[in-house]
Amino acid sequence: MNEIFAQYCNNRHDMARKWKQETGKKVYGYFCCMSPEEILFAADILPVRITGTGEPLQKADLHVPPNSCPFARSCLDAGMQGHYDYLDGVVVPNSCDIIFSMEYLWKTLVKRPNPPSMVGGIDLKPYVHYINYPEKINSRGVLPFYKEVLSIFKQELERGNNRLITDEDMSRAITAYNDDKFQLKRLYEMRKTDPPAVSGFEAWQAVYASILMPKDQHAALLKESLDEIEKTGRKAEEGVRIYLSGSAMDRVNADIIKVIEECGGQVVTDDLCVGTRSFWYPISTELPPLEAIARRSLGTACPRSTVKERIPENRWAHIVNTIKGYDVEGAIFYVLKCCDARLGEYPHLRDKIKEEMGLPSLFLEGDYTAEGVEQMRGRVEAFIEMIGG
Amino acid sequence: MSQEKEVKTKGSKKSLQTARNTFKFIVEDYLQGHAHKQEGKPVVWSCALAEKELFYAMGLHPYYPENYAAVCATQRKNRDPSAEKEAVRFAKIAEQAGYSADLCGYQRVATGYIMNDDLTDAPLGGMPAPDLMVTTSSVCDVRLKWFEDMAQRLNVPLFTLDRPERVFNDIRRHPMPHEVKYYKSILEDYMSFVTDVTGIRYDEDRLRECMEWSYKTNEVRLEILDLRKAVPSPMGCADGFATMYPGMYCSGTEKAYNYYKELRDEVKAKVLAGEGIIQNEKFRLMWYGIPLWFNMGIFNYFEDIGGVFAYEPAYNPSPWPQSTGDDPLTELAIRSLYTGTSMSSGMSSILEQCREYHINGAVLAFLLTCRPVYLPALETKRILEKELGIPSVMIECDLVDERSYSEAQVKTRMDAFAEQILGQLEAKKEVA
Amino acid sequence: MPFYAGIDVGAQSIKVVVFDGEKILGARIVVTEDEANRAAQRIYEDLLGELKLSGSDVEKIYVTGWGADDVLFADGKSSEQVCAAKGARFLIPTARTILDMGAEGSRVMKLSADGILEEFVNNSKCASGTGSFIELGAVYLQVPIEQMGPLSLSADGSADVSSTCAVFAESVIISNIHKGEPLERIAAGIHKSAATRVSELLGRIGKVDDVVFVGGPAKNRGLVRILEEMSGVSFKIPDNPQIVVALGAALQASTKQKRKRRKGAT
Ligand code: SF4
Ligand code: SF4
Repeated sequence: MNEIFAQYCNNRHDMARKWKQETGKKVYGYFCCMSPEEILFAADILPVRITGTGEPLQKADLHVPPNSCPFARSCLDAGMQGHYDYLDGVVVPNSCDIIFSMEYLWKTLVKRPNPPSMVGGIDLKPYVHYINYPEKINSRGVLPFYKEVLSIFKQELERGNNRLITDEDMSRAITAYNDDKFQLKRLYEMRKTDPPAVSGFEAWQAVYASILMPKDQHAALLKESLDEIEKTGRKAEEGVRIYLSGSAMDRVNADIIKVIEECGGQVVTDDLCVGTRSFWYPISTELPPLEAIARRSLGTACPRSTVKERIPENRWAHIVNTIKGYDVEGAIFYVLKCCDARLGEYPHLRDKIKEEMGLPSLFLEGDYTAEGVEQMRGRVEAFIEMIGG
Repeated sequence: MSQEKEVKTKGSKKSLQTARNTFKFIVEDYLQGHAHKQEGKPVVWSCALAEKELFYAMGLHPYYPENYAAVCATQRKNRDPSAEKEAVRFAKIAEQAGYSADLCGYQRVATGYIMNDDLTDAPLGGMPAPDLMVTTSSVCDVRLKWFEDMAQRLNVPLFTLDRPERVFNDIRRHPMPHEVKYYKSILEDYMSFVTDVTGIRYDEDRLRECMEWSYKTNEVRLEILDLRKAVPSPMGCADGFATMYPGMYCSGTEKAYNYYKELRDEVKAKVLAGEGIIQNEKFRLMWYGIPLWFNMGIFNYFEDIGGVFAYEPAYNPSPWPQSTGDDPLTELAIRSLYTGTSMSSGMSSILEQCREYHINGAVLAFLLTCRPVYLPALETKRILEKELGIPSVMIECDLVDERSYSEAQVKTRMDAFAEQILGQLEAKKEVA
Repeated sequence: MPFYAGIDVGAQSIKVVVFDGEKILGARIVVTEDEANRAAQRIYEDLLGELKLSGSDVEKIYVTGWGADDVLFADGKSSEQVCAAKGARFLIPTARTILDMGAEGSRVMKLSADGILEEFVNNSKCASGTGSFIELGAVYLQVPIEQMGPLSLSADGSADVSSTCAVFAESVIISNIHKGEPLERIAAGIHKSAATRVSELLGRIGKVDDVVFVGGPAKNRGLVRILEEMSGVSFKIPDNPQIVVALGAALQASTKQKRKRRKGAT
């Protein structure tokens, strides 16, 4: 769809290094889409999401057991190998068990660019920032708590970078983020037609690029591309319309989207963290900026969180929001092995999608390798043939 | 090493009378719960690390599906020796319904159990159906998702105690005000939740009373831990795990306190008499992780060559902060936030404990399906080796599902490990 | 009258069926290690020769199976799951659940009352619930594969070969041989182990009668019996269970059109 998006998708490290060199500004890495990237952006820092390589491990295998999440293991391995040596800081939210442990693993095993400045046992300029993300995202006391967590994070950034982050800075970040969310939403809107205007893989590329490059720049490029597509009226291939639901979807896993397309399917919408979960809900511009950012982060429909409702429904509202209007014909669950939160909610979601929407599901347990994705081709093919007649 | 030695799955040999009495304690607790339910009083299903005082203070009888899964791992249907263990039967039901075999064994067993139409067709007559459920966000993601799933399946109201997952070193151990405030608000929400569901009101004095029992219980348990540092070891892991139930699951009651008082007296007497689990103690091991509940006999494996399992970090209490005289909810919040669950705090405390308990080697139960246990396993191994020169061996298995257990493999590893340690001790002697 | 052909390229053998829209005219099963395209072409042409047909009599050829992509002369391709379902339903119109056990994988399909494929499950990558597992056992026991079933039926009980993993089970088989367990008991154990895996698949999909068993192992009476005991079903087995998938492909060749949209969820 856009050459620059493809460059970011295929050469993310070079692109980030280049950006850093050209601008002289800092780059921070973060895990998971609930991370308060807006605050980084407000501090003139480029936030990039940390992803893995899918290659055989070189270093992390001695530290993290083989049955752990292969994505997270690969992220750590990339860090230990120095792929992320351009990062000035790393943000670790309390999301799943594995990411939570990155607070220790990354801090202990990945070489940091600058020495700590310890005062009384406390590092004043931490390299790894831990965000104590709550798990019950709508409980009565959660907002004041989380606002405080974020303001501690903000102070750490201010100290570490010798600059204040003002409300204006944050409002500016919110605007940039909202602009990008708006374009991404527009992109997803254009996939409601049959055939969709944009293929599943192209759409994934656009979302993936958005978590690797400056949001303002991304929004501008995406707008240009979408205008162009609207003008020419071009369409993607027709295919069985698929809802893709799954674990971390980076350059390695995203090949599953290609496989689906090659088998005659077309991913039209999703429940992915490199997908709807990263942009679907805009940030409020009415509230004080820190609170608005806190609410956005709490609103991430992360499978690992829970809610105050007495009979929780596994994020059912988000699933309805993202399926509605897309004329979906089947759901494919692509879950990485060891991804407990996703594995645990799968049977329930499968049944509910079947009962309430009449959609069949296909379950694929991924191992985060290119070969693993290839081995799924047979089942994907059968599933799509089963739906398509 | 003798060729005939077995690691066949079986129960352990316990050395303490109190430990041998625990099964009775558990059975009585289960029966009391059934009686409680019959009287029309509410039953709650919950999990470790939820604060037990919250249940007793509100007149709820708690059951723990995780503990029940462990019970199922030791029982066969109708005691028929040819039948598979009940845990395996239930795990299969869950797997057939689409729950991945990679998911926590506790979750699979308990989920399979509730999918069975008849909740009483199970060991000890099953758990009484819950009127409400309470889980915690602490330690693992499984508890959140698993209880959400059970709540939906059984249509029973669920409350999650969302305890901030803190990362701290010694200096920052004391929780920050916003953390205390948040967790207190959760505890208050819990109280209104219970009132809403059962009509039972929160009674501050009652909670304070329960908390006093648990403080006292914790003190005695810490005393026991201290006694266990003695050489020869008066109380090993077999007894440690066998006696965790009252402390883990009934803390806040007088009966739990009495139980540990008795245990402490027994251990103390042994220490005074210089009596160990075995006659000639040569080396001391740590058991890292949760035990293989279907095979507790493994703790006796090294005894004939002088090896004892002296200490296990799991389920043991840590010191609590001084009582602040605040209202009991604040106090409870502060106390709970003292528990460190991060890898950072885990690593430093395990080193300390190995020193205190004079550990020569570690067996790491590499529980294939429990992330909080398997994630730090390699790092633990590395750090023990690097900082203290302590060798360790890993045993791969599920915690309740014995299908993933390979007797031959465990035996080979354990034997090689014993040789390694004995060799090390020999070498040390020569140097000295 | 137009003719149609279906070719099922498995890991060990190639099956070809020629079909006239109503009945099977001829079928072939050939075990081959030859390159798939060449082998399939040869077997197909041999069969045509036997039926006194020429290539131009055949309107469409559909291919399916593990090596389907290698067969270059086919007009279309269909998945094994869909073909097994179509083929079985054609032979046994009351079929609702189909178990297809192949050399390299097993799968279970569920059909709606009017015969539409609704759901399928595959066994995991592991070989322990497949035909090749029993063949492997035959190699270790040094008995011909056809003897495995009868051998297991003659046993008075079974040796413990249970395992969740095929690699692991191999060493268990060997240690049983060393221990001097009677061969028939080991054979029974091997069948039981494979059957456990397969009955799990049947359980996962929630089987509905009639359950049809297709694929080579369906001819193994020992396996059929233990599977029936274990999963509490009684199978319907077509006369020639090995060619059912190839027949399904031929049926696909005769009917498949461009996709029609199913109504999606809104
Ligand atoms: S893929 Fe799952 S297990 Fe892995 S890091 Fe993400 S949420 Fe955690
Ligand atoms: S995953 Fe581990 S900590 Fe979590 S419930 Fe299971 S056994 Fe307990």
